[in-house]
Amino acid sequence: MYDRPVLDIDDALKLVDAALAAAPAETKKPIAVAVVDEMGDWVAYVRMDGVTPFAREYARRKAYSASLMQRDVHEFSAARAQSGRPLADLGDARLVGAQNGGVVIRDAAGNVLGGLGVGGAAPEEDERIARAALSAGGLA
Amino acid sequence: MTHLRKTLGLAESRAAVDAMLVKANDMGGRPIALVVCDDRGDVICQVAQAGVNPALARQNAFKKAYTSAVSRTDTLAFAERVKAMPGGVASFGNPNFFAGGGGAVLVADDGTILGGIGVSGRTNEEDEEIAQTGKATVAASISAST
Repeated sequence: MYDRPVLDIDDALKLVDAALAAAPAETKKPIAVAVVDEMGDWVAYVRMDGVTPFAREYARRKAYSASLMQRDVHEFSAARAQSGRPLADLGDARLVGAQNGGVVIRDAAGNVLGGLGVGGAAPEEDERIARAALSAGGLA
Repeated sequence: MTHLRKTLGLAESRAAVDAMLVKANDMGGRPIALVVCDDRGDVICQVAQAGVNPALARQNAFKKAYTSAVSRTDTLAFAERVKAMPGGVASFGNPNFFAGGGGAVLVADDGTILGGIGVSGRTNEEDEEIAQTGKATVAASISAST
């Protein structure tokens, strides 16, 4: 038997709220934010009014990909680009090849707690918002 | 031609989730999953507490919210309605339909269906009580903003 660290709802909501607070008001681009646990199951999700239909599921899949691959999606994508192996080789249709906006959530000891995904803003903005959320949540 | 439809927003949805978490905490009991969706079942806000039943709660919370929204009734009333049907809820052939407690429909003052709330993780009665708290919160939030 062993103790497994688990992401709790208070931390997940803190991350979601920090992401919403970091959303760029000036570009008027609403975002969707997803937080999943270490197995990819949802812990928290919110979408702002009027977010594009595509961004909703994309945010979830970025969170899922970061969690299951245990690294930020830009690292995951860069590693695949280098190896030249297609995403489909991994046999998991929920994984996405996004370059931005998906970050792994770790505790202070480095254990993977889950993933956070942001969709709806410009790619570099999604990434900035995701990182800002982690910093604000004390989980960067 | 353009038609403007009253649509549930994040503000009301989040207020409902926060109120339901407080209610669930006051009641005490097993961890729960909560879903608030719009009139077509698209999720606006959802949360799952650590340790929630991994087999059922997330899916059922979604199914209850979805069923409330598209059947335009709370899931308890929906369960009563389908009881009289030959084949019951399965006769719809929709795996996302849920017949039981814990789902509440959200309706605007003019009768427009705004969406649904789903709660799962405890007994049907407890899930129902929490869902009704969420429904009341949305109603109050809408009244306050109009």
